[in-house]
Amino acid sequence: MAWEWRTTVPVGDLVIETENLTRAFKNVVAVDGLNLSVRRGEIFGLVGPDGAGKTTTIRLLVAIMDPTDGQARVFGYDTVRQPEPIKRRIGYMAQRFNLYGDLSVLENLNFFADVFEVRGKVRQERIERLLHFARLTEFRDRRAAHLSGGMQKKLALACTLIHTPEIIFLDEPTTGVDPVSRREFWDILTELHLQGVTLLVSTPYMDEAERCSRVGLMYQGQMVVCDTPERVKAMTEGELIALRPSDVRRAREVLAGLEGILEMQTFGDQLRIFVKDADQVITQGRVVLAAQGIEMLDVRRTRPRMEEAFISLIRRRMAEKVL
Amino acid sequence: MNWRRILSVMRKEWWHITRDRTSFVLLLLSPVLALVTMAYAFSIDIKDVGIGVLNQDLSPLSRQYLAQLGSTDALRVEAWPQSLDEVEQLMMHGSVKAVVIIPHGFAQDLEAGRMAALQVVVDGTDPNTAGHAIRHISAHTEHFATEQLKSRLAGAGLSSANLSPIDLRLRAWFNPSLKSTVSLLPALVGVVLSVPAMAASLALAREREWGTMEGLIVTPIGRGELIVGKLVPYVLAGLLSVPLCAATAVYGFGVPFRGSPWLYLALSAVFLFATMSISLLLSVFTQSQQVAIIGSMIIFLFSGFFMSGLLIPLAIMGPALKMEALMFPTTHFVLISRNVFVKGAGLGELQGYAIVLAVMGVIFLALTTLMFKKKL
Repeated sequence: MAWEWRTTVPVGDLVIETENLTRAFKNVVAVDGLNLSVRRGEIFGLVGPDGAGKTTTIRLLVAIMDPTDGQARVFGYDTVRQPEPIKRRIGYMAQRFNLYGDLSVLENLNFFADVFEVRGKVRQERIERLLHFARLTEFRDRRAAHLSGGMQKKLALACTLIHTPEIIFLDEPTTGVDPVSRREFWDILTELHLQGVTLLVSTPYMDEAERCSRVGLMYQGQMVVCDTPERVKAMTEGELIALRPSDVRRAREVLAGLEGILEMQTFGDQLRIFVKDADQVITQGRVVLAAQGIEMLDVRRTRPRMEEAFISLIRRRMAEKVL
Repeated sequence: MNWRRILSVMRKEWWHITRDRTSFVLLLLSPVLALVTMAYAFSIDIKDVGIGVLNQDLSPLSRQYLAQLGSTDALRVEAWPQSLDEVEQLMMHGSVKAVVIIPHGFAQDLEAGRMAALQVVVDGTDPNTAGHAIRHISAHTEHFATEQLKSRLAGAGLSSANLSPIDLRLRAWFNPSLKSTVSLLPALVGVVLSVPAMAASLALAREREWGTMEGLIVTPIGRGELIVGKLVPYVLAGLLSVPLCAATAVYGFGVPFRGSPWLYLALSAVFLFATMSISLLLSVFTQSQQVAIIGSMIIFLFSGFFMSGLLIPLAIMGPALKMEALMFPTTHFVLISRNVFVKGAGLGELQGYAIVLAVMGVIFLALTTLMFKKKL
């Protein structure tokens, strides 16, 4: 398996802990009673739809926003009372590009090196290494505003790493980045993880969630589920069938009437159906579809993917709220 | 306080100011442009006021009186109406601001030693011009009357030496011809230097708008380090405008510069430090650049025009207003500027103002640092 290293990296003491962490704004409770703990050496993925409270959670953890209730501790320091010792040891890459567009790549790096008091030979070596690491060496004199979106993200990461932080918080680092740069970016994150850096990444992408050692699914400010990707996928109710009918739209209508169907999701020409009993539904489905003249081109049992697991968990959560 | 960090913030801020060429040039030149515009707009030297004369007497004496009236550059005889109806028309049109009417028998009365009548009508819609006309016509008339008296005394064989018991000799020091530009331009320099001060109010607002503030407050940078690092480059940029403004006043408007240019530059730096600290404080509370600019415009232009002693002299302000005026840095710099330009005052005379400005700067800088929170 590609993610074998996950088990080889030792997971250490708690570095992030929150207790009933809450942040209310005028009209909305962005983070609602969050209890979270992250251990040294983890890649923790914070996933959830837009507006779930991921950004607010990260801002609370990096001590640039105060909670309205509850508390958060990073390295044991309280984010409200002791923000400065935390700031020295963490890196934060905001969702929005937050470097100086009118400064060159090198000038941006130098500025943050000054701010973090990285000096002398160490600084020179580190900047060279980061430029190389972020594949920006040949663009060192280009103004940051003139870099491509992917390069800007890598420069932001390089600036975040200038003081070798122990935890890096990344807020949707790959949103709006092309797939190739996205893959490259994650390769860099993986390298960091292997060097023992703790990462907390928020992402709307499920394939990225799969690369984390643990994921927390946020929805409406609350943590719906928080576990390893494997266990999260196993949490879905019932069994999953992948079915390819000759007419997806009509097949969906027909099958919706069947007993024992929990949920149906369409993916292109495929229907993915959560059911209580797979065998029973496959047998019955064949009959009802045939009656409507719809052919079943392919049908098999399958394991849910991250995305399906999340959609299913969120739908279940929404149903609970309605009741 | 870590001076390396301050230096680094200063350098970065200087790049922000200078790398955008257009706004940098605008920042340097706008005080000069404002100075020239306002110098013309507020120039209150009235001369060459057009008047009319209705001479019903037509005697050599009345002509002599009129010839002398139009011989200065204060008044200019532009119309010779023939009747009172015409006088009314002229005044209605506003083509003359005053009319001198010499009735029949003016010369006869004077020569007979009787009191002669003379009428002046003025257009009161513009009191400044009207006052100017009245002052000059009265002065001229008085002078003419005295001359008449003297020649009559001489004719009677009497000496006219002791006609007036007091020999009044007026001399205006520093500005002998009492030219208003001499006082106006140095004061205006203080007002137009609020343009760079306004630019300083963008320093924090800009980072918020760019989104870079978030990346900055998550670092261990000290609040004081950040604020001082931002202030200094703006003071330096503002100082570049000072020689440009002074040169405009001296070479463009003939204002004398009698003091030390270095002292002037140093005191300008103290003034900019005070105003820019206020700008930065404002910048702490504003989220966008527009709000920051509008806020500082209200503070600096309002206080600059009405409170600084530029248009309304401090001497005629009531005690409450005067107190208020003294709270604005521009008021103190207007005094400094006038004294250095016109009187050539040195640090000894000006240190009081300089200390007030420095204290203001320190107070506002401290407030800014305290109010600025490293939180979103």
